Amino acid sequence: MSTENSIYIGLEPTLLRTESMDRLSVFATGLTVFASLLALWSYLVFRNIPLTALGIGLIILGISLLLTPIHPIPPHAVRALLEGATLNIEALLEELNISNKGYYVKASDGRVYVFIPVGRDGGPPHEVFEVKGLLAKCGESRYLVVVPPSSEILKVGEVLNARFEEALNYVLVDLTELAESVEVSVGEKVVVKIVKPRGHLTSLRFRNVLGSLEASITASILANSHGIVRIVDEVDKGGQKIITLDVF
Amino acid sequence: MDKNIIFNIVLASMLISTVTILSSLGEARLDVYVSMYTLEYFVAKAILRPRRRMLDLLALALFTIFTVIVSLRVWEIIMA
Repeated sequence: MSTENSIYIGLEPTLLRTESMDRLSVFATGLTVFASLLALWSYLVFRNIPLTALGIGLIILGISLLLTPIHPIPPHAVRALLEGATLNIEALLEELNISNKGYYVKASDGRVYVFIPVGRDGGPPHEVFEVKGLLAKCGESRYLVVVPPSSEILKVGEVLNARFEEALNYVLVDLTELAESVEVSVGEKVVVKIVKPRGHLTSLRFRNVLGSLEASITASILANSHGIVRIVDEVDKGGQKIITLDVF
Repeated sequence: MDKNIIFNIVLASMLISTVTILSSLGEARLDVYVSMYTLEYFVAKAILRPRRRMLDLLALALFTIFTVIVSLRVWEIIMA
């Protein structure tokens, strides 16, 4: 098969999708214009209220179609990107043979990092860090510093301005569709119940150190609002995942 | 199926059902239809959470119209 053909075949579905979506916009515009004329005509000429109401209903439908995004990023693509981002961290952890559980820390630059104790676990870092490089030292403890996969999602407006549970719902349920629903209970520890988790993480060491994808996202969001967080426990039970987090 | 498409299908079904049912009941007040449309739009939006290209101007417009309709009704009751 020639290179030209390969490129063409590769682009074909995208072109078809664009064309069909453009047709949707044309249809929506046509529907809105037709419905406006129907509503006006029915009201002014026929004095027919049900027909006018039908026209208004079709205007609403037409505008709703116009407001529907043409190329929304499919949630499975977002999930795949996040899962892909775990592979680099997994390779790094394997190479350095690190298996301590990490601390999710909001650093002075406003970004959430994971501080993974190297060697003995001396507890969470107790200074406000300016992160430079891969390693950080705090007292006797040394940490490997990595950026969690969900770090940049925290800067999205819907997450920044939301409370913890709302932000978690937005990211896990709406944006990535990693879960069907989320429940949060706050006591001595924060317990998050994730119903029907859909993350498929193959990186075992990543899971041990940073938690599953759902737990990592949860800890990142919590750290963003509360400072330092650690995943204490993660239990899969009957289509639910129960994550227990410690806030320092 | 994409939830944006489901939202539009559900909305279309609700709007058409409203016109059919209310017109068969002989309803001749336009504000009743518009109020029902507004409620249906917000219920479908709250349940299915469709994505929007920009600020949801339709929701804003429907809410404004609904507020005006309710205000007029309240005004009528007060003045009666």
